Amino acid sequence: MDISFKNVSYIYQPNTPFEHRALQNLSFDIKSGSYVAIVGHTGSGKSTLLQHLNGLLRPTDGQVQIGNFTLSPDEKLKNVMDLRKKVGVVFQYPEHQLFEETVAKDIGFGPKNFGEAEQEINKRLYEVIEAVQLPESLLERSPFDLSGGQMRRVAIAGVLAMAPEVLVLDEPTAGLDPRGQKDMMDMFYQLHKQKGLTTILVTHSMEDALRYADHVIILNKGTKYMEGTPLDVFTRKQELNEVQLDIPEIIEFLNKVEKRFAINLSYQGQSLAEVAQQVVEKLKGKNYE
Amino acid sequence: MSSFIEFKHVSFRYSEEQPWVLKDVNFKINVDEWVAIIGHNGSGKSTIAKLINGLLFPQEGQIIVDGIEVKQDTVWEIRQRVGMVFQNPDNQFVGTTVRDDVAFGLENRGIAREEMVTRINSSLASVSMNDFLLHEPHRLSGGQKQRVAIASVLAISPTVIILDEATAMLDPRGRAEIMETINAVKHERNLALVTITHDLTEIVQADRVIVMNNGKVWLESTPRNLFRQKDELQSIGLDIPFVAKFADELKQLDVPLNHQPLNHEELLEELWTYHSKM
Amino acid sequence: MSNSFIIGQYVPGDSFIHRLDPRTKIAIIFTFVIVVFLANSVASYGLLTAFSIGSALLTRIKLSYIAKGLTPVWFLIVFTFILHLIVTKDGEVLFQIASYPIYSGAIIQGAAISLRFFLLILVTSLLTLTTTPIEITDAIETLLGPLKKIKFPVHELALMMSISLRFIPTLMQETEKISKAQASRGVDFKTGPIRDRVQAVVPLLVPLFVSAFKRAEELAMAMEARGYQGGEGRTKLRELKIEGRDLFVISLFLLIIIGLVMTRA
Repeated sequence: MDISFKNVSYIYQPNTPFEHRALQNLSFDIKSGSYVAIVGHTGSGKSTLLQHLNGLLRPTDGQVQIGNFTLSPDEKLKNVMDLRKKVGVVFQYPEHQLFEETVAKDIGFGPKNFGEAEQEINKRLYEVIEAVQLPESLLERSPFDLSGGQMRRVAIAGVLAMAPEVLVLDEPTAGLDPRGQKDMMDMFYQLHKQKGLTTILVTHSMEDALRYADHVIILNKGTKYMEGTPLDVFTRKQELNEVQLDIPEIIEFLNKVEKRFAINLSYQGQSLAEVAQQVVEKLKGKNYE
Repeated sequence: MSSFIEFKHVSFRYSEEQPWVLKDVNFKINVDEWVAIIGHNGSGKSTIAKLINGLLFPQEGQIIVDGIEVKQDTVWEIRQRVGMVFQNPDNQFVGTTVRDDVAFGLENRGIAREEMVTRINSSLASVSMNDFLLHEPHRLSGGQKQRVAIASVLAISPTVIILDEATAMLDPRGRAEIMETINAVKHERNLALVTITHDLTEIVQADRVIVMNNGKVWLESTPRNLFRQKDELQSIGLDIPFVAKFADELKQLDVPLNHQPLNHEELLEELWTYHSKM
Repeated sequence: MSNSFIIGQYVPGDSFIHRLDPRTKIAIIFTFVIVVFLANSVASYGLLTAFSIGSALLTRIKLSYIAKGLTPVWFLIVFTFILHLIVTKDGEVLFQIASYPIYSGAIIQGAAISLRFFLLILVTSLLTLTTTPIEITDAIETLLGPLKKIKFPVHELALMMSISLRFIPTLMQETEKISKAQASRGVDFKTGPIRDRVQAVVPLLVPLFVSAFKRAEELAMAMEARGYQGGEGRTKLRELKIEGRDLFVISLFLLIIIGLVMTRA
């Protein structure tokens, strides 16, 4: 599903002393099937934006188009349930939403709400636990007996079981250890490819945005600050520094190498081994000159 | 240097039916030392923190803090010496305002009011939160709440501070704030520091690292030596920082390194040496 | 957060009333609730009204804001008045509404009772408008202090109140978060038959309880790590001080009570 934001603004508690403008005149497009990272500090409006994607909020001004669904300030979306069925959201710390007696029931909760048949739910159940790498033996256990990492996988399976076309991920690796983080991100990437999902990753991690996304949107104080391919955005160091965002470490280091040795090196998405080789070759080459 | 904290053959489990969380753990931490304890989730690293200040007691072995064995009847003496900062910024904030929260630990110890006010001000100044005296917790960021937690600990002037995954729930900005704060605190006051984490970029400044795996001490090392062991660390679910990975690639290319680099500057220096020798 | 949440809430300020010791305020309001029933003449009602309106003005909070805060009780006040008009049959018939006789006594009594009701609500709301919840907690702790002698857990009660106050915003945020997460899994909290809507609360309540218990456990551990071992031997940072202005206000209030007794019919 194509998604587009047109001049979207959102104000919390308008006309009170607590009025707060969270989004301001925000416009961008997300192509169906793309992997987009939305990056910004806490309070940049990321979470407000995310809630629009699920019809949990309606814009105060402007328009949001998600496939055939239109969110506008004056009109309530009638078929909001259809929208939610198509856009799955993995919220931050999704394990906090578990409540059923068994893992299987919790995973089936979403599809059941959307009226899927028992048989279909059962079929999906086995697909999604395989996708999130949970053993079948856990299905009849209480979700509250599992480890933190397993609970998170159950919650994610619950979202995948809704068979969404768009998957929105809000800091999905928060609190996991390094291996857990990498496994989780690789898993989402695989799903993205396999199922042709439109994936929207809301993150603080420049490294993840660089590694997985094909488009990056940087938010600052509720406005769109930058937008483009990761390589395009992350090489604009000055601009990122101005809003106190870091650039991915590999790019930062290459910048330092360029400066120190007065050589030209650009990051084009090479592997670390290739980068190391290029650095060494350039240094050698420089000596022969 | 005398050892300040000592674990002697410590084993711990939550109940008899459950597996051992720690098994025969031995180590020492010296006065004025910064020790990082790392390990993947479930490696037993956080249990160590709770054992040090008597929130849990081992089934086997002994734990000595400042010459006192940690036991039911010594916990209050121990807690006078050991300050702890936990993972969740919200669930350790007791007061309705920043000032009340820092006061909580002092009130518990029966400190006189005038003394309290002085200590609150100076400890909040140490973490640069003195402009937030009357702020309520829900108006603070995660990083700010954790700084208040550190101030609360500083106010009781402990001899050791344990940070039990204190940065795990923070955004990058909050993490940077906390690392900056503990560096400043370490510099300013004479105390031992134990930081428990799974983020290896946070251990660079530690004097020593204890690596936990499956409830056992897997390795004791300096950060520099630790970063040479990329494959071993990855095998137990940990990851080395970018600088160490890059150094590893250079080694593969037969670039000689004098030292294992810890940061960008040291890595650039190694490259410079290599470059000028050619 | 909805707008109604603001009403009746503490309004930060530095007025004379704000600066009064919370114990003074609580004691006066407590007494006021009793003496308001002594009034039975125009002069005595006038005295109480002057005192209440005077206090409201001294808070320097906009009267319109205070009045807005009383919105939910306006209805009750008007209702009380009308009820008296219908029920009371004292004095002479003044006029008729739709052939129903209205007595003069009914108007006087209805007005008096409604006024009394209004004054009660006004004065008590001045307490919450000018005193932070934590100050009220402190005041209650000291006022109940003597009960410690009969082993009443005064300190624990006060600590409980202050921890609840501390966690109200946190739990409200959490409720909002979880209800949004469940809404996105297809839970409909807003429409459908009552039975469905009641059922929809389960996916909200279970996670809320789970998380609240986890918080409680962690908080208890953090408190213990920070040396908490009950009220014994504890000192307090917050201290309440009776000052000149408190004594002045108390004396003034005593004079009003005397005046009230003297102006009674």
